[in-house]
Amino acid sequence: MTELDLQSTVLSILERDGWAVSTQWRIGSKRVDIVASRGGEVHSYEVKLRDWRRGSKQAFLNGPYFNRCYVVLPSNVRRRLDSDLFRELEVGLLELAENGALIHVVEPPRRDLTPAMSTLIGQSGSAKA
Amino acid sequence: MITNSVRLGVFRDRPVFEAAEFGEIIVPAHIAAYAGDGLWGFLQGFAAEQSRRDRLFRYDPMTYLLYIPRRYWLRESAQDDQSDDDPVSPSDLKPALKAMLEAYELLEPAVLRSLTAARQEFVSNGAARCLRFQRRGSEAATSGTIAKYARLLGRSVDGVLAPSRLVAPYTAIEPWSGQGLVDQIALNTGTLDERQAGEAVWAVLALTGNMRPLSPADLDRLQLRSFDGVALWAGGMDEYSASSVTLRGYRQLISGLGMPVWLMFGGYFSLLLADDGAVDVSHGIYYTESKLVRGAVGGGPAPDRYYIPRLHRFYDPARAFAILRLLPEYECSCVECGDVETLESQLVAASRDTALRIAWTQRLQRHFLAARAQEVRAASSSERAALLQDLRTTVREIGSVPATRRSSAGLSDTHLQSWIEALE
Repeated sequence: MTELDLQSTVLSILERDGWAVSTQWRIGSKRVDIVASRGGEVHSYEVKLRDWRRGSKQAFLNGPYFNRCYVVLPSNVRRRLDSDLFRELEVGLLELAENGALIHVVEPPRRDLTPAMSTLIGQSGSAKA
Repeated sequence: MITNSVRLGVFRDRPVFEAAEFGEIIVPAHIAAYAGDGLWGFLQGFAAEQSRRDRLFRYDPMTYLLYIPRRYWLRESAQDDQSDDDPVSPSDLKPALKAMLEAYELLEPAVLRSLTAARQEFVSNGAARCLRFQRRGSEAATSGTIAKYARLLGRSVDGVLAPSRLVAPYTAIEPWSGQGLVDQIALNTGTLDERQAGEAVWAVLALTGNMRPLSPADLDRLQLRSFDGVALWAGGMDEYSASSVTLRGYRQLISGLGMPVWLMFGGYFSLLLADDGAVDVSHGIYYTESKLVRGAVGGGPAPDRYYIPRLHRFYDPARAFAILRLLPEYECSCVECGDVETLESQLVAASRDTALRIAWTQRLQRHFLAARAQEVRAASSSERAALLQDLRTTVREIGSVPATRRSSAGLSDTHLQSWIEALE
């Protein structure tokens, strides 16, 4: 599986669940892998095959722009990752199980966005970036 | 007392220049040669907006370009398989470089013969031509130009604008036993021979890496003490990544010159070197706080970045705003910056609208120049000990941020630690 395969699978799951999604969503020169919006709620997803530390940093930087920010990894029972790091950074962690379900390993706190950000993200979150 | 000067990149930056507070504009000679009328209009607008016509600008002769591989002079499509000794077609040259070669009367040897022939011609006659080019100043070519810019600027404009000083032609010196040194000695001799009474002329010392202090013999050979000052370009010296040892060597190089030094590329650390002899520090309105001597002339728009004044450095905007969330007391209070939440929403808006992006970029540039002006004022009015104490305070404040968040935001005090060690 490549990162693109994983991203494609995550997109399908989110769309199936009624989220409007866009990829490579720009914040300046930064690109967010997936942005999903539904009912005024906007989430970001950084998709990684292995480098969860890098993913957690990217998701941390996404923090101010979305209600919740996640890193998505393929399920791997042998991987040893530091879930406390995700909690400390207030970043969520999802694992894609072999049966195609997204499992919430760490659920991040929900942030309220400023009205200006809410409007902006709401307007563009469902549009292709 | 130290000042900063800002390198001209493109004329469309005029609104940013006009709103800023700084010493002089540094005009690269190839831009002046290629777009003389555009430069004239740019400088007239700046002069009117800033209500000054003296000490407005000086040239960077850009003659080091004669010493980089000639393929870098050519349009990208013509760069393949070109050696320095093959004749090239003038139409293959980058237009601004071609204009500069014409201005220095080097186009014929440079394109019909070889780079070596052009260098020989340059060393023999380049000083006189280079100074003549600068002495002409900036003038409108025709009455049509005057009318055009009067219309564009909405005011009457006229007259020649003269550079504040002349700058000697230069090449990169290194190794100290190499041809570059021989050529630079000849260029300095030629420049001093051509100097007219009352003219302020500065030499340039461009180094490619080795920053050993000059010996008295070096100073004599280059006749540096016969000039009014020295412009120093330590090629590739990046004060944000250099070690404290390198930075200390840089200080020794500057103080060893024993005369006024203009640091051609620098940032905040360079502003702290007034006690070592630095009198002026140049940089771009956004980038160019360091530059390689032997490198291609770059092109294309650079990514946006935000300057955090307390950290004295640029960051990618999203990263910068994450840092400001960790250290809210570092938010900037200049007229360009709102609070971090406002900056974040404007970043998102600018990321999806071209017109907003241009305005956003100019705003980040104006913010940087305002921050730099504040740094210049602080560096000019405060003792170095007090400025060092400020840096130590910043290091302590960075240390108070939890390590995981610091690391995730890319917040580091390494450059500040190096500066402190180099200056203590």
